[in-house]
Amino acid sequence: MNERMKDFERRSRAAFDESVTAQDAATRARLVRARELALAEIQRRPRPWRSAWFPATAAAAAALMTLLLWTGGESGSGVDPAIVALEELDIVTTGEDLDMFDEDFGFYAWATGEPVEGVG
Amino acid sequence: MTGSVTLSAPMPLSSWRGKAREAAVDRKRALERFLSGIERRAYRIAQLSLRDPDEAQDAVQDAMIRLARNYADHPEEQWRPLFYRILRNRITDGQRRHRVRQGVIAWWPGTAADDGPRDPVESAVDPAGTPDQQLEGAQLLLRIERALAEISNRQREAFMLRNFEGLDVAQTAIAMGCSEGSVKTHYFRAVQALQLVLGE
Repeated sequence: MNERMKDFERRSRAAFDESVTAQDAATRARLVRARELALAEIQRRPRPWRSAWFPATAAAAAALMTLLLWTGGESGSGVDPAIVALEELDIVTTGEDLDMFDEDFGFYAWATGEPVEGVG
Repeated sequence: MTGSVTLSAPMPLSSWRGKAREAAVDRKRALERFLSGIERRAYRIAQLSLRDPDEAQDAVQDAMIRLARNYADHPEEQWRPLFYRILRNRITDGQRRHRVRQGVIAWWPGTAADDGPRDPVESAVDPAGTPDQQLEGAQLLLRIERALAEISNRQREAFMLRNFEGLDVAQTAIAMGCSEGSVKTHYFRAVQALQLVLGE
């Protein structure tokens, strides 16, 4: 870059600086007001997801998830499955209960409205 | 070999929140310093580009707000090129709107555009500038301002950001959204074109 160009750059920069210094009070006041509005915007803006609370929130969510997974593996009825299995086995192996169905067959047929031969 | 691991006690939540609040206050102060240091030059650049003080004021205000809203968390050294990038986009929008307005006015029947040619003496720009400008000794800038209107937008941007605002090539490239090589080319051509227009 030659000297003529450098001189032009220097003078134009100086002229610009001078015009900035010479700005009137009204313009400067409006700029101050604009700056205040911009700074107020910092407080209004939505918090980013990586806010100060994020680590605590993440830890709480992880703990809750662990708890749900832990308790979710168990039966939802709250009854021990071993007890239920024993009761079912009891019904099958006890002869009285099956006999009861034979004796009251007529009753069950009447209850469903079906005509049964030899009954009634 | 035995080693010992020292675990520091976890920071209480109140202390953590206090530090976060202090950091936010520091950031706000830093942004205030940055904006107060840049606003007057930015306004002048916007005014030279838009040639309208009110539009320039709006452009600078919008750029400040967008910087605060979207980039306050960025490292401070990024603020300057980011701010000028936002301002440049805003200026480009303003220039586009202005062109559309001018087009509508020229097309719309019964507007000033149909009133016949203006009186060349009345509409001529005073080469000497206003008395205030004469007093300020801003003759050169006035001439440069007119010359800037003659060169391309990219050359004008490169010249104002590099020469007036003093951004380096890398910062200007971020502000203009182009490569550093393009910045150098635009700037060199801008200086040459301005010298030619000004007869220097």
